[in-house]
Formats: sequence, structure tokens, C-alpha cells
Amino acid sequence: MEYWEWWIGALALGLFSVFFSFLTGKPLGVSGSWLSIARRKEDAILKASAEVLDGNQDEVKDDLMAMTMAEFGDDVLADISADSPQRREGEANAEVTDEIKLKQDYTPWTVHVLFLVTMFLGSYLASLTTGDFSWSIDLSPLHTQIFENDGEAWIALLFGGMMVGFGTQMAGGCTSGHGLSGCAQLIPASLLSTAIFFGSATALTILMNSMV
Amino acid sequence: MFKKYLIYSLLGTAMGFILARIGFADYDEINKMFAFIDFRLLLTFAGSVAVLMVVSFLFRGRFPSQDKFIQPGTVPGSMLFGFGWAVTGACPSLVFVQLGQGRLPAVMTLFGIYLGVVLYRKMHAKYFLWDVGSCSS
Repeated sequence: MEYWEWWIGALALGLFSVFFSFLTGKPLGVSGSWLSIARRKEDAILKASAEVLDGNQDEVKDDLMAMTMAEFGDDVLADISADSPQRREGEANAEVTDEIKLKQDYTPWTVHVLFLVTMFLGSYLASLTTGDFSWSIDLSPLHTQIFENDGEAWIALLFGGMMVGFGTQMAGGCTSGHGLSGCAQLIPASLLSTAIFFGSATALTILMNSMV
Repeated sequence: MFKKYLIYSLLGTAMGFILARIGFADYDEINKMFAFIDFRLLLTFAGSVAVLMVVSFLFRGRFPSQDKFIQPGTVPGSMLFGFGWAVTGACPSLVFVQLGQGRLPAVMTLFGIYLGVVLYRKMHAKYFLWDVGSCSS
């Protein structure tokens, strides 16, 4: 496949992440989609809490009050009704919290599955349109050269994949979340993370290439 | 809710197409980028960060902000991810692009990533109790 010149790719990928943010209201981050799939069993809880918050904000506040009373006893009511300093302080806080809308955005895990699967589809379409699609048992000529035989290569891929999965969750983002969205906003954690994963990948790549 | 499925599937298709045409999922190209033999991918990536940076500056206030912060897992996690990327040529999205190009061994990477994510969640709940602030999309 003839790959795009760097500036075409940069424009396409950059504008794509702009559209992603505009359309979904969220920065692009693929490891978040993986997380959502891995915790799909908790999806019902997330959905229920989002619905409760969206549905009836007064009810949620009443429930919170009831829990406060259960925890601290009925004296709380006396404290609140009395014209005490706490009361005035509490009022000031209440005004602030009223402005914060209790809203939780809920995206079902199946949406994330679809997002990842259609990524496969997009890539398949790209190789069909350029006429380069073919099944192959090797990742690439160089990969085969580095790992010598297919068995070794496949096992390396399994463990390499585990490092990618474990590492991106531990770092709190991946190429898209830290590297693209985070670096564009100059977030310190993302700049640090991107510098480190580029550095460690470079070190290992140079080491592997030197052994071939 | 149907709209959300439609939007994400169109975005997924576009992303897969773009990444494939850039050649980001080609192990040889990735290897050449990390070994600093070829700068095309590096320029592509830096360029797309620049495009996103300029547009989000022009439309600041309308772009979603993220709360990512440095936490105890940032350094070791990023390091592990880098090693994994050098071995597999894949990040959590590129593995699907490799599969779409018919690269069968990427199935192993796919399994590996899922295992890694699940393993991290188990270990995090048991041993590490800090907040990671992962991409919340």
C-alpha cells in the first residue's frame, strides 16, 4: 500500500480528533474504550446512577439529606434550622452546589465495542480500495526476521499485547489519549507519559534491531 | 441512544481508514520510526498534535477538557506500554487496523491487550489504590 505523505496524514488525523471531540463531547481516547469493555459488568450500575441523577435531582437531594440524618442523628436538623454560623456557612455552600448540575454522561459498553470493531472495518476498506488486502500469517517481514519463527513471534505478541493493555491502563491513557489529546492540551501527565513510552519503545527497538 | 451507536461507528470507520492509509499499523514503518530511520510517521504524529492544538486553541471553551494528572502508575505504565508497542507494533487502536489488513498474528495481540486490561483492573483493586484518571470516553 502506498502510504500518505506526512502532511496529509497529519491533517487527516488531526482533523479527525477535532471531529471526534465535537461529535462526542469527549477527547479521543481508545484505552478508555477498552476499560469500558473490561468493566461491562458494572455497566448496569453506571447506567442506573446516570438515570437517577438525570431523572430526579430533588429526590437525590432528599435521599442525601435522609442519609445525613441517619448518620449524624436528628440534631443535624436543629443545627440547620438554628441561625448558627454553620447554617450561614452551609447556605453559602448550598448556593455553590446548586449551580453544579448533577449530571453523569453514560455511554454503554456496546458503543465502545462498535467503535473498535468499525476501526477494523475502516482499515479493511482502506486495504480493499488500494487492492492490497491479503491474509498473512506474519506480522511483517522485519517482525519475522526479529522473532525468527512463527511460534516465537506469536508468543511475543501475546506478552507484548499484555504489556500494552496493562501499561495503558496503569498510565491512564495511550497514544490517542495521552499522545494526541493530552499533548495537544499540554497536560503535564500526558507530556511525561508520551516522552516515556516513546523513549522505552525506541530503546527496545534499537536493541532488537541490533540483534538481528 | 441509537444516534450514539451511529456516531461512534462512523468515527471508528474513519479512524481505521485514516490509520491504515498513514501506515501506522505497519510493523516495519513503526520500527523505522522508533529507530529514527524514517521520520514520516513521527512528522505525521507531531503534525496531527499541532493541528489539534491549533483548532482547540481557536475554539477554546468548546473543547472538552480532561483531568489527567501524574500518578504513581504514570511512569511504570508508560514504560511497559512502550516496550509492548515495540514488540507488537500495536497500540490499543492499531491492533484492529492490523487485523483489517489481514495480519493474523494480531489476534494474539488482541487477546494480550484484553488480558492485560483485565489483569490491571484486578491488581489495581487489590494492591494499587491510587486514582489513574484514565480516558473517560
